[in-house]
Amino acid sequence: MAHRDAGTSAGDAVLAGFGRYAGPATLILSSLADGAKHGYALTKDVEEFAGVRLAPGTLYEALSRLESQGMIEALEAEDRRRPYRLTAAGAAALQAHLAAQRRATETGLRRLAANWGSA
Amino acid sequence: MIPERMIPERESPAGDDAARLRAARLVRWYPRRWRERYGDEFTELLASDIAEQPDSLARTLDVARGGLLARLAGAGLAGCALAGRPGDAGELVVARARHAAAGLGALGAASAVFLVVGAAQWSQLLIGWVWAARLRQQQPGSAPQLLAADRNATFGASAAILALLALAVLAALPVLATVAARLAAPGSPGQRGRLAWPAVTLAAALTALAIGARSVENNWIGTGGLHSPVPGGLAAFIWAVTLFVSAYWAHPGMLAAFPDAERAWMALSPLVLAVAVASAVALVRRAGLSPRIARFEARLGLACCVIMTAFLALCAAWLASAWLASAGPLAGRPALFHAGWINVAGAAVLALTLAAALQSSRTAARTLSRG
Repeated sequence: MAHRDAGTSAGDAVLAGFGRYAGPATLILSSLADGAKHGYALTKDVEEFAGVRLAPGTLYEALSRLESQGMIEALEAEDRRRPYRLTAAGAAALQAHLAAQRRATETGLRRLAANWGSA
Repeated sequence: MIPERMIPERESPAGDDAARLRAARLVRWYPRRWRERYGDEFTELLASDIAEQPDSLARTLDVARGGLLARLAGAGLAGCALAGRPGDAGELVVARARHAAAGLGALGAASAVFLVVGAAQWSQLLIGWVWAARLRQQQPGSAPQLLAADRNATFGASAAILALLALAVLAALPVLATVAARLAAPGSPGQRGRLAWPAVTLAAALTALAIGARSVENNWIGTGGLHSPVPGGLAAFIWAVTLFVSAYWAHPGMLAAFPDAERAWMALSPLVLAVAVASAVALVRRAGLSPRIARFEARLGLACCVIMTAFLALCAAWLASAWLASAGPLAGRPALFHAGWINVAGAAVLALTLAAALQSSRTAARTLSRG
C-alpha cells in the first residue's frame, strides 16, 4: 500500500510540475484518454466535458510540454491537422493526478457534509 | 476516428483565406524553430478559431504570450525542450541537450552581467574603504565614520566577487577543453567554423579588455593595495573594466573633464564586454557539452546563484543603512560611502539578472534531469 502511494505521488508530481499548465494538461490528457484528437477536436471536446474553452496559445503550450515529456505523441498529419494520442506514461500520470484530486475532493465533501450538513 | 462535430465547418473560400492569412500573421509571434514543428497545425487551429470568433483580443494576447514564452524557452529561460519530428525519439534527445545548453548559456550571460555590475558596486565600496583607512591613519580626527553595513558590504562583496571569479574560471575550463577537443577532432569545415568564430571573437574581446583596462587603470590609492581586502592590481583592473557603470553619464559637463582615453574606454568597454559574453554563450550552446560536464556546469550555476543572492542582500542592506543614516534619501553620507541613484539602479539590475540566472539554472537542471 505504501509502495503504491509513493508511486502515485511521483506520478502526480509529474503533472504538478507543469505549474500553471497543470490544469490545461489534465484536460488535454483526459480528452485524449478517449482517443486521438487534433487541436480543434481537443478544444471542442474539453469545452463539452469541462465547460472550459482552451485558448489556442495555451493549448499548444501545454501540448508541446506534454509531447516533450513523452506523455502524448503526435501522429501523421491529416489535411494539416495533426492528431495526438495518449502514451502509457501519460495515462499513468493522468491516473495518478486524478486519483490525488479525487482524494482531495472526497475529503472536502466529507468535511462539508459533517460540519455544514450539505454535499 | 475524430467525430464529425469536432471537425471545423469550412467557410467560403474567401473567408477561409482571410482567416488563414490572419492566423499566419499571428503565428509569427513564435520563433522559427517552434513554427517549423507546430506552425502548420497551429495555423489551422487558429484559422478555425478565427472563423468562429472573428474578433478576439483575448486570443491575440494569448497567442502573443505563448509566442514570447516559446522565445524565452528558445533562450533557455523557460519551458522545456521542443519535441522533434513526430516519431523521432533521437531528435528529442538532441533537443533536450540543446535546451539544456541554452539554459546554461543564459545562466552564464546573466551571471556575467551580474558580475560586471556587482564589481562596479564593489569597486566603489573598496575605494571608500581604502581611502577611509588612509585618512584614519593620516588625519584621525577627520576620518569618516563608517557604519557596520559599510564594513559588511565591503568585506562580504570582496569575498563574493573573488568567489564568483573563481567559479567563472572553474566553469570556463571544461567548456574550453570541450571546444578545443571538438576543433581538433575531424569534422566538416562548417561545424568547425561554428565553434572557431566565437572562439576567435572571445579571445579578441578578452585581449582588448585586458589591454584597454590595463592602459586606463592608474593604480591610485583608492583602487586597492594598502588596507584593501583584495590585491591592489586586481582591484585596479576590475575598477577599469567596470568604469562605464557610472553616474557621470548623467553629468556631461563633469564627464567632459575626463581624459579622452578614459572617455573612449568608457564608451568602448561595454561593447567589448558584450562581444565577450555573446561569444562565450555561443560557445556553450554550440560546444555539445557531455551530460556530465553539463551537470557540473549546472551545479556551478547553482553555487553562483547562492553567492549572487548573498551579494545582493549585502548591497541592499548597505543601501538601506545609507538611506536611514542620511538626512534625505540617499544623501548626506560621507562622500566616500555616498549611495546614489546609480547604486539603486545597479541593485535593480543585479536583482533582474539574479532572477534570470535562477530561472535559467532551474530550466537547465530540469532539462538535464530528464536525460
